[in-house]
Amino acid sequence: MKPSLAERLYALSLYLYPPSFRREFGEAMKQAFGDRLRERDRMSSRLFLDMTRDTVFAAAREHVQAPDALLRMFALLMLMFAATAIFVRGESLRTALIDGVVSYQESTRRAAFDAYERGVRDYNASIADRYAARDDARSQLIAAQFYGGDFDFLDIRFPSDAAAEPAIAAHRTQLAAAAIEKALRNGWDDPVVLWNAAVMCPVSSAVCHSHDVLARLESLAPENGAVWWLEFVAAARAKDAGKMRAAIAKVAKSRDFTVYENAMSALWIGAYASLTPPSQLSSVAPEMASSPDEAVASGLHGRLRYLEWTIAEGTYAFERTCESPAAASREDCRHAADLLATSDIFAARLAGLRTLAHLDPAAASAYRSACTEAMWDRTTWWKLLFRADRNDPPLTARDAQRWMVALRQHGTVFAAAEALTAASATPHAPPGWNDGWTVQ
Amino acid sequence: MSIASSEEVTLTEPMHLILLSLLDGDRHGYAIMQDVESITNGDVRMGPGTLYGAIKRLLQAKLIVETEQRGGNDDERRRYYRITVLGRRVLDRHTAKLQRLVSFARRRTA
Repeated sequence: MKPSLAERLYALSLYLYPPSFRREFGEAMKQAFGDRLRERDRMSSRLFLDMTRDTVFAAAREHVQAPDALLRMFALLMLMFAATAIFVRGESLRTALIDGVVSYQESTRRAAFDAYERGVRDYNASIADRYAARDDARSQLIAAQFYGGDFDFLDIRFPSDAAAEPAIAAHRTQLAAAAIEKALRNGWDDPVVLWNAAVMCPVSSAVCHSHDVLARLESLAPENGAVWWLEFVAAARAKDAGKMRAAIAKVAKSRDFTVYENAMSALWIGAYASLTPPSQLSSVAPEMASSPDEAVASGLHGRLRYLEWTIAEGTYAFERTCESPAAASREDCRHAADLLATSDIFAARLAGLRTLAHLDPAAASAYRSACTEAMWDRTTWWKLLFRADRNDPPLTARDAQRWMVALRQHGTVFAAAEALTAASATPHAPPGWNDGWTVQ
Repeated sequence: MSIASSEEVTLTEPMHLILLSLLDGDRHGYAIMQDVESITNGDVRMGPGTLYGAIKRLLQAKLIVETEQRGGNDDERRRYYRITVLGRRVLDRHTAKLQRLVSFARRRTA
C-alpha cells in the first residue's frame, strides 16, 4: 500500500534523529505512526501537534546521548529553548525536558558524580556514627538510615554499592542492624519507631523477626492502613500465603481508594497479582484467582489515586534539590526527573533551574535566588541545625529563639517543630534555648 | 558504585509505563502505546519517538528483550518486546520507592 502524505512526512522527520537510532528503530516508528494514523482515520491537528512535539523532544533526547559533542551542544540548546517553553506550554513538556537534561548530565559528568557519591557516603558514615553513639530510639533509627547510605529520614536506601565495595557494604549493614536492634529495644512503645524499623526490615530480617515488630505495631495501631501495607509486604517477602491472604482480606474490607494507604495496598497487591502466574495465584490468594483482572485493575486504580499525591511529591523534590545547593548530584537530578513528570510547575521550576545551574554556572545565581526566596524556612532550619550541630559560630539561645519565632511566624509550624526536635538532639544546643517550645 | 548497574536504573515515567504494559505479556510498539493510553485513562499519549527512546533505554538496561514473535498478519516491521526478570525486579523496586516517597510526603504534609 502506498504511504500517505502524512506517513511520508513522518518518515522524513525521522532524519532529525541520530542515524544509529533511526537505523535501529526507524521502521518500527513508521509502523507505529501509520497504525495511529489509521486508528484516527485521518491526520487531525491534534495528532499533528502530538507527533511534532514528540519528534522534537525525543530527537533532542537522543542527540544528547550521541557521542558527538557538537550534536550534544545543539541538543542542549534545544533543551534550553524547551526550558523557556515549559513555563508557557505547561506540564506535558516536563518529562521530555528533564529526561534530556539528565541524560546529558550523566553522559558528561560521570567522574564528578562518582566523586560526589563517595563524599556523600563518607559524610553519611560520620553522621551515622554520631547518632549511633546515642541511646534514644529515634537517634538509632537515624543512624541505621545513614549507615544505609541515605541522608533523609524516611527516604530509605540500603547500601547500593554492595557490588563495588562488598566489605564496606556488609560492615554498614551490620552496623545498621545493630542500630535497628537498639531502636526496637528503646522504642518498643513508639509506633513511629516500630513502623520505620519495619520498613528497614530488609536490612536485618532476623532482628525484625525476633522482635515480631508487626504484631507489636498492630497492637499499638490497629486497623491502620500503613500497618496492613507492611503486613502484606512482609508476608510477600516471606512467601507466606496465609499471612498474605489475611492482609489482603483486611484491605478488601475497605475499597475506598481515596484513603492513601488503601490505594497503596491495592497497588501493591495488584502489582503482585500481575507478577504471579495465574496457576500460582490460587495457592497464594484465592480472592485474586477468582478475578485477577479486578485485582490488577484495583492496583491501577490505586496508582491513579496515588497520582493525586504528586503535588506533595513535587514539594519533596523541591526540598531535596534546595536543601543542599552545593551538592549537585546525579541522584538529585534523577530524583527530580522522576518527580517532575507528575509534580507541580513550581517544583519543576526550581528543580529545572537547579539542573541548569549544574550545567551552566551562570544559571546558578538564578537558582540560588529562587531557592532563597522559596525555601526560606528550610534554609533557616538548616542554618539553625548546622550551627547547633557544629557550634561554629556558637549558637546563642537568643539566636536560636529568634529563628524559631521567625520560622513560626513564617507559617511553617512544621518546620519549626522539626527544627526544635532536631536541634534539641544536637551536641551544642545552648541550654534553655527551647524554653517555652514543645512538640506536639 | 557503578552508575551503569542495571539494578540501579531509574525509571522515567515512559519506561515505568512500558514495563507495566508488558506485565500483561509480549507486545509490539503500537500495542504498548494503546495500552499506556488505556491504563492512564488517556492522560498519557506516548508518541513513537518517546516510546522507542524509552524502549532503547530499557533494552540497554536489559529490563526488556526483543522476542522473535511475529503475528500471523502482522507487518514484518513490528517488533515485540518482553519484560525480563530483572525488569520485574526493577519495577518492583521502583514501586516500593514510590510508596516510600508518598509515605514521606503524606507524613510531611499531614
